[in-house]
Amino acid sequence: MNRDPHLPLTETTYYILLALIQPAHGYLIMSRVEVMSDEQVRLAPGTLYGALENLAKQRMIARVPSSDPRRKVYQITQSGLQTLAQDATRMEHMIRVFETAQGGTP
Amino acid sequence: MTISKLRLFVDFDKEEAWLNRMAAEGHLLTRARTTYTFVPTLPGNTVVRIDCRHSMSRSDFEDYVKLFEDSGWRHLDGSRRGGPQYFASFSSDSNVDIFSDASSKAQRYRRSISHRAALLLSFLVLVFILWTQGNIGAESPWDWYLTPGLWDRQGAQFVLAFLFETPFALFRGGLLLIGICVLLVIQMVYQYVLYRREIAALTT
Repeated sequence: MNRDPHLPLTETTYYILLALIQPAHGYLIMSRVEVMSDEQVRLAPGTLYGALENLAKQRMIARVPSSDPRRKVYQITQSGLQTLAQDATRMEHMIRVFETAQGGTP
Repeated sequence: MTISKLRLFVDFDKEEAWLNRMAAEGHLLTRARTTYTFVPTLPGNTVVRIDCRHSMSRSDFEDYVKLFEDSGWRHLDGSRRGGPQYFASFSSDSNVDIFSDASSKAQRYRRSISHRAALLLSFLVLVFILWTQGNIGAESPWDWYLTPGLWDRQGAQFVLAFLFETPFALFRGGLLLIGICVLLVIQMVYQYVLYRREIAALTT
């Protein structure tokens, strides 16, 4: 199988995509990511803005209509969801290999 | 009292450090175009940070500023048409930053270089148009000065008139515009070096 060229995702990108399974504007993404990562990933606005711009360009996320005209709302696209799922599978595999290796040592 | 200062920065870190020193002394940036303008502020924990963006639509710019405001930053100055964007945080944490990783921070130099490239291009077009129209670039520097009888004047009368017209003469000679173009190129090269340095620090 051909591997998605976007893989592996960075920790930041992974969490942003995960946060956008439900539509969200910038600040909501920040708080979702912070909660989901057990406060390990704290996004600053300059970093998030650039990341959203890149993900939109790669068509992994897209703008959706919002009730708040001053804040742009994004949601993950089909292709973004696919990439995210592939990255989760990739990491699952890495964990499995790790556990097998651990089990193999006395 | 409002104060104005003229400074030229290429290194964002040094520019931030200077603006933060000014803030600590009670001067908060309000305008940064050709000169920096400051208004009084309470000396304290103000942190000023600089982003650099490309030209944006009105609604994109509003969304951009709103995202920073939502996370506790006030937009001090910066053009919607692109270039440096200045933000201040007034929280007690002096380590706050607008970037949470070094690679996204390095990208501001890339955007700054392309912003300067666009400026350079428009200046070159201007130079070309003025030059083909014969408005600049007269062959002899004597012809850059248009004051009648300037070269026959004596003493203080000459010096005053000469100095007064020199900026216009430099423009007419094309030196002013060419000088700006050269300055832009030097700044771009320097920012590229800074960009490479930050990128190199990432991988080691």
